[in-house]
Amino acid sequence: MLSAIHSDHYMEIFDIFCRNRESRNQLEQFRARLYRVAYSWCHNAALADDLVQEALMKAYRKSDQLRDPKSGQAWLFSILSNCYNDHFRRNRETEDVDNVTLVDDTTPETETDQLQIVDKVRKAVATLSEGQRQVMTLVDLEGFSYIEVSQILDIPIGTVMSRLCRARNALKARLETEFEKQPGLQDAILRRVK
Amino acid sequence: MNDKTKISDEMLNAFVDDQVTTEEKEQVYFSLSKDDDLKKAVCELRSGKDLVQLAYQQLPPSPGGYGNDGGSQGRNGSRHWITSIAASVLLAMGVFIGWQLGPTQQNNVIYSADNGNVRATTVAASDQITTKVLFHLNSRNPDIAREALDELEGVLSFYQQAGQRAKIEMITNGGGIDLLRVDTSPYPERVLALQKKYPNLTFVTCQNSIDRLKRERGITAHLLPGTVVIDSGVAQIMRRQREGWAYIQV
Repeated sequence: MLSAIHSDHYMEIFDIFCRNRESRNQLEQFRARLYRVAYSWCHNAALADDLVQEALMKAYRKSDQLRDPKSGQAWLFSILSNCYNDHFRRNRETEDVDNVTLVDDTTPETETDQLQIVDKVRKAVATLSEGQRQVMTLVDLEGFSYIEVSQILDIPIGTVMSRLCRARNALKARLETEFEKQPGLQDAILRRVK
Repeated sequence: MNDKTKISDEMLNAFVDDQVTTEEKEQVYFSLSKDDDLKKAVCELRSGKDLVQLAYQQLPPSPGGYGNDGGSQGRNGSRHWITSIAASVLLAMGVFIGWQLGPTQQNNVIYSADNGNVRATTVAASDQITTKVLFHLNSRNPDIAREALDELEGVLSFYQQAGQRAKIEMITNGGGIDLLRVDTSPYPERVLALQKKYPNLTFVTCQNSIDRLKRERGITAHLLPGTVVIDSGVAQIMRRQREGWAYIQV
């Protein structure tokens, strides 16, 4: 089980993976980037952490399969994508409903305007289909090219383009609705325009 | 025929993500120059990207003890700070809701050239003291560049003689940046002379175009002194128009 992987165990693997300071720093950056994307896919910190750990361990085991070092970033993210798909394939029938609805929870501590915006965007992203969400976050958060995204997710580039287009249209529609609900927003905009 | 019909949504997304060929990009820019709805769509797409990036800058700390700052900023290289959130929020509000409030104040100045005599008429939409005019050049054709400088100088001269305050900006992107490159500019002395004579004039070029020049042709752009570099030419045009600048494409 993913969550059974202890962080000490992970750090041990981490040390083996990168024996010098430079590669260690690089992996540290990769790890944070993987975590950010994983979090944007599942909106669950613990699960995102587990997915990243599993992806890095798999990458370590399969490192001899990486023929072209230049494609290392896309390769890492493709492993992360496989881990994500495997997780939901395994847990599809036993998914805890509470965990799903947790995505839409808000807390009193987050009731500032700024965090409300962040919260609304995350909620809107969470309502996208898995495929749309993955494509959009890989492009927008990581700046991958469409060809790289098609390799990471193992889908045709035309599918990347159409999913991205639909994702952004859906996100825009959802956010317009969300922002319209925000009290006092129109006053702020009028001041801004002036 | 409406130009917008030639640009699919997928193409527009690819344009915003810099995933189109030079020819496709030129086609989109051409359509943008004629279609306000298309400009609005591009602006919305860019703002949507910004919002998604903003939403995942600050993450919950991972149980593994990392990632609470979102880590490195991906390959986009766009680092955001906490203090940028407020500005981003305003931008988001403006983009996603602003247009729903109906047309806003746009071009303050109507410009026309008639037999070499430049006339500028201030629209009494507000009591602004300073008139702001944005010229846009995206062609490397020296004749067009010369016409652009002629028109630019005409406007500058008019306001100087009239004793009125004006801010003039010439933004270049695509092939237009050749005007401001040391090794390609057909009129470097004139550009420098204009800057010296008119302190209210700014020459601006686009980082995206500079990057593309490097990427596609391996050329590092060396710019004329005084040139200001901004992130994106299109984004700058959008920003200026929202700020009430008159827009003139040469």
